[in-house]
Amino acid sequence: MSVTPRLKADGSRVQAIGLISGGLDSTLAARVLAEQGVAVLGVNFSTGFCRSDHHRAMGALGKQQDPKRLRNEALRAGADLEIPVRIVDLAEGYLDVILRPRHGYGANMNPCVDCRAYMLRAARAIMAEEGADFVFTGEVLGQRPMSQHLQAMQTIERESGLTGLLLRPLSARLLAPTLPEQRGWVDRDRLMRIQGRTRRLQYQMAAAAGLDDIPNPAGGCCYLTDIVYASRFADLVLNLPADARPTERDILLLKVGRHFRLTPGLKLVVGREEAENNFLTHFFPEGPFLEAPHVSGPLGFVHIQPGAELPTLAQRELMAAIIGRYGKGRADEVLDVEYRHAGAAEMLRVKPLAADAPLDAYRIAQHYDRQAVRWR
Amino acid sequence: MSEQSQPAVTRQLDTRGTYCPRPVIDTDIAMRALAAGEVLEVLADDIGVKLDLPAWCRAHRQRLIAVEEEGRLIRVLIMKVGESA
Repeated sequence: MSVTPRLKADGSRVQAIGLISGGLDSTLAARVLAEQGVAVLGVNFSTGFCRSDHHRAMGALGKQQDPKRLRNEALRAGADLEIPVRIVDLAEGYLDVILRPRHGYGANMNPCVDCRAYMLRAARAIMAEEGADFVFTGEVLGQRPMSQHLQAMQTIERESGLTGLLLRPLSARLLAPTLPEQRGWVDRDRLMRIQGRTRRLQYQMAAAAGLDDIPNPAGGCCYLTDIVYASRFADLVLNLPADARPTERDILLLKVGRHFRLTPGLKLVVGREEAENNFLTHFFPEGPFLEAPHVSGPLGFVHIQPGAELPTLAQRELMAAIIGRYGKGRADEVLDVEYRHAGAAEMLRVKPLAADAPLDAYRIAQHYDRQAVRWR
Repeated sequence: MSEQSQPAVTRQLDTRGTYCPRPVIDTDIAMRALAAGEVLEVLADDIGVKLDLPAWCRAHRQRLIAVEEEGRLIRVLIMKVGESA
């Protein structure tokens, strides 16, 4: 894209920091400003709750994936638009956003308003470091029920400390003029007036710009919006001792396998495919593990909360029987399942649980008390 | 580009065992510390790197010299050609 650099009154170039996910809206917002000659630095924040990152890790661990699922869309957008995109690790501190959201949750454990404010505070810090002039996002008025209605957008702007310096190029002409518009750093007349959930105009803009390889925006990337993941997260938090917090590894474990809660300190995670088995051995090499050595089947990882009792023989046998249920030996009368821990191996002889055996007592329920999680 | 014609590596970054987005974050940080003309060698086993680092180079207008794969090891060479954000 060849454009004339947009300059401020002092002759320096106008610079903006943009939150870039690589989705349709943020890509177009960046393009709208780049077309005006604004120097754009994209930032993409990693919180540890991104599905795309997980798909990529699973691809690296052996799962066959559509190559498009392996790419980082923010970088792809940066390459398409020829604007630098910096990926920033924002995981530290993010747990507080989830556990103590001032503005509550969306449909599941997703604290969207607080999350946006948290990310924009980080963007404000980068703006200051880089000597940039303002921050922008691809937010569209009325597009998302929790975080993109007018009041929420105003709250986010205020709580991020960016009052007057947060531009939403796709909806700007429906919103009060920001300082960048008032000062002539950007041309308000060349900004957009898009609102609502339909993306018809955005698709037209993308087609006109030749941007034909942008991922489908439906579904989102955040694990916290997913009821299965959110249930596991709530189960994790509510089973911790009152003074404990989830660790990064605790949270990582929520992304894979079937989860069975035996006691507050004891959980079995059963891999559903080879890549998940590889995930468990890669990230949790210390085990304990359960595996039937003579037949193909899943790997089980036993998650023991620090300070909790080691599993009893009855618990180890129950977990072995669950492992047996999901492997090729499920029809066997007796199955050998190895329990490996701390360099020692124990062979357990169990009858695999029948396919219709009730496991509901151990499965993690997909309903939970969000307020109990919130105020931990 | 053949191995013989590749420029000398200034700095090596071993990201093996880490997954997206860590290899890209660390590459970004390492590149910012280099001077123009210097070369970063990135070692990785995250297959996403094969897509990410070429995209990173295009976005940041740095020169991608090579992406090589040997078994699970991915080796990427990037030359810094100028300042990038």
